[in-house]
Amino acid sequence: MKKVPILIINNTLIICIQNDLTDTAILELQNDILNKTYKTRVNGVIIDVSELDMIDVFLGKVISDTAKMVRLLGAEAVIVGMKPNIAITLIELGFEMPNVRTAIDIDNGLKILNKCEKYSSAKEPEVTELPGES
Amino acid sequence: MILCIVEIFHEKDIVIARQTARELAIDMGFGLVDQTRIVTAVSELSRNIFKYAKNGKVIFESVENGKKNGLSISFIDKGPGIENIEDAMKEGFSTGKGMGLGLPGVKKLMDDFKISSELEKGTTVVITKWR
Repeated sequence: MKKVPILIINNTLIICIQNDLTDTAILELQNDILNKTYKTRVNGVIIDVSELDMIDVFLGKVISDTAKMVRLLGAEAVIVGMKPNIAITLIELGFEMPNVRTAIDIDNGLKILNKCEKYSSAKEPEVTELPGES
Repeated sequence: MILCIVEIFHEKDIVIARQTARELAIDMGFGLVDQTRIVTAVSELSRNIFKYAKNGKVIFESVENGKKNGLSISFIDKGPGIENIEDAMKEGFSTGKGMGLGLPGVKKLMDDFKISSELEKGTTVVITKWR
């Protein structure tokens, strides 16, 4: 099964979700993101959905739940890169993502994180840990 | 005319149904937003088959109506059936863990939506998008 890579850069996890993941793979990814956030003690998580050409209710719920769970852990999450056709379809479906931060791309996602107290007041990034240990 | 049939047995068959829908929608010349609506609807309804009936099939057909042509997709299962279709079509209603957006949401994404179901016999949903 495909494994989605989770990058760690400057106190931030960056995850680019790919197309064609099964529901199980998506739930595994949610689990991986939360475990990695906890273990690496990052203060920000960026979930990039720009590669996706479809978000259905299941995937939308897992993504927005993940962002809320990350916040419970004490970090901030931003969903970035949603394409217009997907935004149209999600709203038509009746699915909204209330209380979830969004940005147009990773750059702007980082800017939003920088405005969040939790993230910007964190001590200067500690030595960046290498991904891969889990 | 039947273009393709995808059997749903495993979770990964939902992904295959989505890929098939995307390819056919592109082939038929649907615009990007309609492609996304079709693929999303196929994903929701294929998951319903897998979740509630365990297995079933998805039949993709090209259809014509006078000047228009369209893509019609049937989702057929022999699962437990739906007790109350009226309830199932209400937004926010769900017997499972879902959010209850599935069926009413799919109806909004498509041009035509037909559902028939009989308890213990199964459910058939037919959706169509016209060009």
